Amino acid sequence: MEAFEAINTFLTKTGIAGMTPLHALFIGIGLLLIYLAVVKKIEPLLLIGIGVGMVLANIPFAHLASAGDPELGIPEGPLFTIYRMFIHNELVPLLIFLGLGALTDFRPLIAQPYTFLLGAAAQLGVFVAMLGTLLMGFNLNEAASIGIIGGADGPTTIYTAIQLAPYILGPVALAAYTYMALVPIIQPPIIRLLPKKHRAVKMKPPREVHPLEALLFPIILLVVASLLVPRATPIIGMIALGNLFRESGITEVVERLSKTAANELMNILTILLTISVGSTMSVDMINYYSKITGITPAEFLLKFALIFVWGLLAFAISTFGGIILGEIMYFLTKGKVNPIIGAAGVSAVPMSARVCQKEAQRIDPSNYIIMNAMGPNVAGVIGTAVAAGVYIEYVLTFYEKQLGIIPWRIH
Amino acid sequence: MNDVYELTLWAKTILQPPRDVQLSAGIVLAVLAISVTFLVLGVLTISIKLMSMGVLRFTKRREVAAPTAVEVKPPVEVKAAPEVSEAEIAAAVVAVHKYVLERLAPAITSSLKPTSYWILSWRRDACINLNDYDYVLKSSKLRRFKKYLI
Repeated sequence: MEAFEAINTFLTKTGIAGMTPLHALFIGIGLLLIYLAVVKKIEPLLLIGIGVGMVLANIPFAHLASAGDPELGIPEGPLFTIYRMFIHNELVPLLIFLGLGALTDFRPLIAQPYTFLLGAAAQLGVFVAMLGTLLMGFNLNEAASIGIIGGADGPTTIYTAIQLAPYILGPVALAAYTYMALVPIIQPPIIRLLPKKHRAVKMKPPREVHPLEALLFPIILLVVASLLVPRATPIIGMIALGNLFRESGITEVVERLSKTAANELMNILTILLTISVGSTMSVDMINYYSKITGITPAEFLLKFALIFVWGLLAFAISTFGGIILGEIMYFLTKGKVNPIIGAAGVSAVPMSARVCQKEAQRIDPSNYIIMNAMGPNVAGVIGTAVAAGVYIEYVLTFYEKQLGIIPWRIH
Repeated sequence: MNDVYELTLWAKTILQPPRDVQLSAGIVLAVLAISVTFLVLGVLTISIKLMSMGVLRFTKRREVAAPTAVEVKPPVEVKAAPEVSEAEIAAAVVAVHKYVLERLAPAITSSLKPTSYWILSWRRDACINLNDYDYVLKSSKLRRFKKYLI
């Protein structure tokens, strides 16, 4: 009889017995992400980690992503510890910007500074999606986090979501990375709205940039952007520091730092980030944020679906904004600027620049505009960081003024 | 971990300002964000353009200031090489051979330890890597030099 009870107790403690439909759904999505990454090669660097994080965090009774419950004797799960120590305090997203700075070559932007404006115009989706989601019923803090998806910059999206709506970090980050991988599908139909004659414009390749210009760029960027939008300083500061490592190139020591920031450090951060983002889409994490914000699993799933819809719209509108300003530049310069490069203003580096090149070559195979498109492409990264800085500053101030507290913040 | 436990007990429902206040704040935010983004990137456009102009002017001036004329040095007379007999060449070859043998001699007795690939891969001072080592092992001509490696 005792043996029977022991077996029965064991069986009730298996993952299968503890599986709820929500666990199963999240595990299914996690497995789908792993399939897309491994078989379809869609953003494998990111989706493998996110998928595995999701599966691990949703194994019933393992409580890997649990915040812990002293009453039930459940300790804090290791995935939650990683999330709390590296993601929730913004450490990893900021260090990723350091790596991005070390990886990014701003020379095409320095050679054509007017492309900064294309990077600003391609943030249109950020603003429209924010207003759209707000009108649909999302709260202002959530709407701002969802809007940033339109900037097509994964780390900025994550940074903003952590600051403004950490409880929807998972869906927001997943939507951003998924649509970044789908840029070659989303952008071409919008680019083809432009007249063929305009798309056929051959641009002069960007001039050669003096090393001193490349060296001064991060310093000017840091001073100007930080003074105008102090909330964007952590992002812009890290990008500038990484880029300064890269461009100084004076001593072997700095070169070593640059290589480390761009390779080893970046890889470690990517592992931590992807697993943690995956673990935020789990039953334990929803329960945790349910206690803080009152969000229910059903509400979370509804928001999950709507975030994906608005993410797609944000991307499309941003591309549209970029090509509209590109078209204006075409007329202002009397046909010297190919308006396609405006689409590269969404900061999916270098994917959207490649899409622009492909679209230009559809009209004229001898047309090479990729280096021209890289200018707005890297400008988009700065544009998204600035927009994120404005959003964070405004939303936090708004909530503090209205409620006296930031409801989703850990105190 | 304690702060997390405290947190879970802290608030049971999310606090949100009234809907109409949020909507009007959203519209202000959108307008503000568009304006500030264009302002910052516009200021950056002008700053970078000015910086480029300054750098190009500075580097051009330095190029102009640098001496353009190439100094032509007087031709140097090259002395004819002295005649060397075959015996002298043979003696030199023997001397070099002896010198090389002497230089390698300490390496022969330096170590009889078994080869550690891990240590070997880190011996940058030996200027040798694993591929070279494998090549030495496989080459019949070079096999006799294997003992000098570690």
